[in-house]
Amino acid sequence: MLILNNVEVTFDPFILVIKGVSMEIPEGSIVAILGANGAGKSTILKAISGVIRMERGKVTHGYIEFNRSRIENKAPEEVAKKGIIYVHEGRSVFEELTVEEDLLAGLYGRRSFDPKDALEFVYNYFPRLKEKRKVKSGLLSGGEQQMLVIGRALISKPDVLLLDEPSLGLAPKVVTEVFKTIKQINEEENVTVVLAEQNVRKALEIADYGYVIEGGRVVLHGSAERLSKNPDVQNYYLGIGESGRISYQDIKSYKRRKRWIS
Amino acid sequence: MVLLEKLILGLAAGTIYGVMALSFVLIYRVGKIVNIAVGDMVLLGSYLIFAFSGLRLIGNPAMNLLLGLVMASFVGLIIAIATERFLMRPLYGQSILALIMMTVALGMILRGFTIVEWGTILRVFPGQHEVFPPVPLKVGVIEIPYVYIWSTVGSLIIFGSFLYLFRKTLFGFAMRAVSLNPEAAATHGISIKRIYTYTWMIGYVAAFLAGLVLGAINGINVTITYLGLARALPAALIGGLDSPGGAMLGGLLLGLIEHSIGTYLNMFIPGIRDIVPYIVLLIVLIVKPYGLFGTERIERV
Repeated sequence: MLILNNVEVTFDPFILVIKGVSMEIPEGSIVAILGANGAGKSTILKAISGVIRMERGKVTHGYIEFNRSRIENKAPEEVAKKGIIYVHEGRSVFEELTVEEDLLAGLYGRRSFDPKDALEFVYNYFPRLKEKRKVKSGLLSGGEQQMLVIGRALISKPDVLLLDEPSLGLAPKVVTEVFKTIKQINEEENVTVVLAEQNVRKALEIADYGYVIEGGRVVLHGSAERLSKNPDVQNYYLGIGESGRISYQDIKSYKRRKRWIS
Repeated sequence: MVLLEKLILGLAAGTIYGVMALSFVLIYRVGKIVNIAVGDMVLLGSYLIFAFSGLRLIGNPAMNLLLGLVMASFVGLIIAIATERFLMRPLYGQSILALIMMTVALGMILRGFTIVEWGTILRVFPGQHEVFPPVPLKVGVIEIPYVYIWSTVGSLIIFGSFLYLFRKTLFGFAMRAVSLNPEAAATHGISIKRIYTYTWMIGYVAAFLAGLVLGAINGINVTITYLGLARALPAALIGGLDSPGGAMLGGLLLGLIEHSIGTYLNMFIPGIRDIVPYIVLLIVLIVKPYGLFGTERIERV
């Protein structure tokens, strides 16, 4: 169980980005964090994983708790050792390493597994990586790179995966494939997944629960089913109006975004 | 035959340049630090080996010298930890220039320490003439000084084991991962600070080995600093700043050119031997700005 309680994140020196977010992420679930650009989705994941520390950010209020131990403001490598692996947005592969070396680099910090078994374990989910295991990871296609970074996170058998925009810059077909694999990993390995996504429709398809973030606050949360039926979410994120799809001619865009909190 | 002798001599000298360049390249590649102190690290190494072998803990002079190297290396590990923790760590995230200035300061400190402790007179390792007899080894008509044979063996051992570590082990993958993308590496449980510390450790040990060799060839004196820096930098640049294999090849190339073309030209223009490597460096950099084996960034189109 991963708990965020009234978390505030401040970046150097006093830019308040997350303004009191509380979440409960039960073990083995998929939780989606939804919102537009700049809403603070990534920052929440970075706060959990400790990456904000490297960007001169800090949790200044509230706490983050994982299996009853406090993890806020810890160094990223310590959080990773507890079994929470954060996957950067934008496919941060180690370009000059081959796929196999890249995957194994993910094992170094937590090398309690045999490298061969660990590789097979990942290839099982991403057979395409096995075909390309001797190729430098900088030369893979976008979808393969996304699979590689998820695979690299998976190789150390984490308890929690924090995925930051896995759909970014991928073809719709590839997005479907990646999301299917995420769901599969969640079900078969009992890995808790926290998904920060702009692609609300896809995210809600696989998620159990969702939080809608805007301006650094949770404005709406509920089960994925309830969220996708919520008229506001339909209207603002899924592009569905009361009479089916909206005609974009009728939209006055500067008025459209609903402000839950002003 | 004279040419063959010079080529062999050049290769032998090249291996030790390669080891110094390795020290420089590794610290540059992993920590993005241009380590100006590499010459001073070599200098400190030769003095520490001088001091430890001066204790004469073992009767056999060769073993005594080797023990001196091992003991000096242990001290090197501690200095590496201190260097990373107290000099470099406060500066991470600051400008490249701040880090360079810090290595200049590190060099000053190390050099100053050796001058305060041992003065500036030329010294030799205890028992050096028994370990490296002044009469060279004769194979046919080719004469090779003993010190070059041992330095080649030592260099190849340290370079080979490093290359294995870097290319084939999880530790090596982690090291390269940190060099490519420290932030992503940290989220996988790789401690960046610890990797940086290991990098400095390898850098110090490699420099200390070079200190033993240069000290035996040249005599132990503050001039080793300049000798070290003047060979490590061009070797690293010729090989391409971020490639350990390139560092060794750059060192070999440098040694070959220095001992063949350099020695030949030196008969006509005395003193040009020390300049020839830099002329080669210029040519290499003009033709291939990343050096011979430097990575040209992979970019997907």
